[in-house]
Amino acid sequence: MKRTPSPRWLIGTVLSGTCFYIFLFMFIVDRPLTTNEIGAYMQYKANYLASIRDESKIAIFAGSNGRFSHRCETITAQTGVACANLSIAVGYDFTWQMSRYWPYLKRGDVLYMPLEYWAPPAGRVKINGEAPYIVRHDHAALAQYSLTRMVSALFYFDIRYLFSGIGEMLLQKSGAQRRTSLRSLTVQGDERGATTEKSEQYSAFIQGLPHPSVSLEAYTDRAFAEAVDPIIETARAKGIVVVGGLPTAFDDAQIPTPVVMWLQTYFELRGACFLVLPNLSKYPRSAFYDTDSHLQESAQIAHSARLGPRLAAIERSTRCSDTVSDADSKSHTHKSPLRLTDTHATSGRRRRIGAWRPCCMNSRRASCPGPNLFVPG
Amino acid sequence: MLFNSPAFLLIFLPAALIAFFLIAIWSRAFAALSLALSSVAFYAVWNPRFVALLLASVVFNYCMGAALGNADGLRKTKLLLVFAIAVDLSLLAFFKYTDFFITTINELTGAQVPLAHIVLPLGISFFTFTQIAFLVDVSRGVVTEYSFVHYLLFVTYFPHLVAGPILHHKEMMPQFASPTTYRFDAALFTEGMSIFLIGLAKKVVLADGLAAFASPLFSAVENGTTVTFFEAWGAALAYTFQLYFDFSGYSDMAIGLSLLFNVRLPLNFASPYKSKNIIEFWRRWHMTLSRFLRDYLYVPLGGNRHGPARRYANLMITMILGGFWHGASWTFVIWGALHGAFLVANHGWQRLRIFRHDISPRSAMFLSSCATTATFFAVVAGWVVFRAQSMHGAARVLVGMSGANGFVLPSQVAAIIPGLDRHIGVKGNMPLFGGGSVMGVFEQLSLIILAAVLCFGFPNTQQMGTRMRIAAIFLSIGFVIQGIFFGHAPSPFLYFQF
Repeated sequence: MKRTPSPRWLIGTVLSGTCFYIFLFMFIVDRPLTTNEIGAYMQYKANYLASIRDESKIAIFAGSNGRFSHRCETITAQTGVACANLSIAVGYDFTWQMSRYWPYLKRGDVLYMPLEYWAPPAGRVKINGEAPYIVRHDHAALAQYSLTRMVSALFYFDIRYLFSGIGEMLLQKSGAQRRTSLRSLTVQGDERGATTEKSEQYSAFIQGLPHPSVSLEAYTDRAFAEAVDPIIETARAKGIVVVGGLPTAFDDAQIPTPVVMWLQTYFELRGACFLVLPNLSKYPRSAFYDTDSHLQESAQIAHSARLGPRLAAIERSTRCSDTVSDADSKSHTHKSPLRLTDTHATSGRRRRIGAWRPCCMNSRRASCPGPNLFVPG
Repeated sequence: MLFNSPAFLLIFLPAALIAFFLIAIWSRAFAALSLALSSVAFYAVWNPRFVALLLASVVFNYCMGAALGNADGLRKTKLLLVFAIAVDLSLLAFFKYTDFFITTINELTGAQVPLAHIVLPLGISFFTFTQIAFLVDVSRGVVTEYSFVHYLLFVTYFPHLVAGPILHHKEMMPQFASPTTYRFDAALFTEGMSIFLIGLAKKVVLADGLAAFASPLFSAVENGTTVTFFEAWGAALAYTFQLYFDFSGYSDMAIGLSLLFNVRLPLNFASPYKSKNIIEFWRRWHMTLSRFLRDYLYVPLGGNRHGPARRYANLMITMILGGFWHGASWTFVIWGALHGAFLVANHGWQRLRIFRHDISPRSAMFLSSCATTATFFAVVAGWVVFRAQSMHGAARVLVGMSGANGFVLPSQVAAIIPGLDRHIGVKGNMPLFGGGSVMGVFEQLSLIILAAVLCFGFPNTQQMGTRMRIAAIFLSIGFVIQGIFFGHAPSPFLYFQF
């Protein structure tokens, strides 16, 4: 039996090994170039938001498509409305992120949410990407978790995370820097520098990506609502206008109309607006940078220029109902009553889209009809 | 039900253990029956419809075994044996090879016979081979015990039912008959649990970790994607170690689980990648299959008894059929033929008796390392064929590994080593290498290096001493808990598909 540990040894090994694992990830293994950046990004964005806390403003909140494909700098320059880009990356708990920003948002502000097309969490226990940051750096937040969530967070780390952590710690010591970091952000928090020239090294990859597709089923397991509901509820309680929207995507992406209608209905039933551009925020692959949701800088600016006047109009009127044609969108300082149609810039034909209805601003369900008005552009 | 699933670990295993040892206090026969029924239930969780098939196969072979045991005369014995094996192989062929035969006929003749799309019953290759071995042993007069309950348990015993080890009747029946098997043994239980935990770590931590870096590339090449040197080697090595840790992890789990019930299963792996030649590799890899093929195919074919030419032909036939046993695809046949050719070359080389003259220990060590390296890379090339879904896919990976498609790294990785980008190609994103991220490349390399160090530099689970086992469990248990209870859905073992 020389090869057999005693039962006491085995139990002791299992318990001490488990404690060692937890200790390792709570106090030793770090990811300075990725996970730790979350805290730095949030602080950066919160600082800017604090600096414009008394102004009426637009805030953009999504995953990395919010950061790469939307440009507050453009929106402010174009409309004169202050704008903060609060987006970091997909996968981090919305409630946790927004808790840093709520103190600086006030009644009448617009919170635009072009959230990435939804994919249910892959893990069996629902836990978000912020868990490693909280386990390593925010023990106060960890202590406030429910027991289930806390245990899930403590056991977030697989062996690949360990290797990534070791790699990042070594890279940081050698002075390596990330491709994107706080240095590549504008003051307002937009990503900058995703130039056409830089995008060339990704062009083959972008062209080779499969046709993206989105399924309605991904939205119907309640995970989406559980993630977004608290944001809308808090915003409504504070008088902030929530505007749902679509993330940027390839123009060959399969985005079924029922998904867009589902999103529209979801936001409207909760008293929020839903803003759809005639192109459904879809662009040719040649306009993308390094992933299927990150626009190149020029397209980022153009996309923001199309959104800016619409968002500014909502901010000024605090009503969802709006009409802003792309042709009109160059300057918007008027507070005229807003109409119910949107216009294609190319054809000049006006198309009606469903989200632009005043009844849904602060509506209850009965006063807010279904999504049948939606006609994709 | 998977060994690495919470349902198995928290419900099935404790229930089966408690039932077995409690009933054993009262009756050993009923304890054996309870374990057999637990095993059938274990199988039923996967697909209850095939329980009838499993039980029918057990009853048929048991009856044929009894008939063979009572048969008088060589001719009658032979006839019965041929009939029983033919039925077993027909069943296997029907479930496993029908679509393969239809596809082959369609391709050869241009016919358009629709595929049958028959679901492959889990473990059919294993329980069929186990029972064929039983029938042959009966015909040879090796089998002496015919208790149906013990036979049912021998075939369905859940630690080995779905992916081996392939058992011999004679090594299991005495254990089922022994009274000590039915008494709880804390030392064996602890030994079994420690082996099981190490097997679990091999599967959940290493094999599943490596899988993410192998599968995307092997899928992509089937769609015509061209792969370059580093991508191809990254995936080929990831799969090489994934397969080893997956299957040897499963085998460790099976051995460990069985020890919880005081039953010893034969070893299935003995550090195969340390082999210095292919002959040795097959003595260390999937040892119970090698044993089966040797005893029930190679030796009956004549083995090495009729000269070198016949021996080489027998080796080729054995390995081709061994490859075909793994799956209904030409890639498995070619993989088997490849290993057959390796074995023939290896035996031929040994006959030449080169390098037998006196050499210094240092030179011997160097030559030994070269031999291990060469054997390993031959095996890796074989695994590429084994893993690919088609020969076109395999060829694309092998061409990539040869460097014919160039040497390309992601730009951020190339930038880490100054000047490297002048000597190799650079791309912004390589989704088939490290999952398309810089840290993914680091993860892939780290996992491959760790796997290589464990395979080449450490003893295997059975050779480990107490301290090393404790160290292995201490370091891996957190990741095991993470993988089982908090990670993705449990992934099936690779050998379940065979």
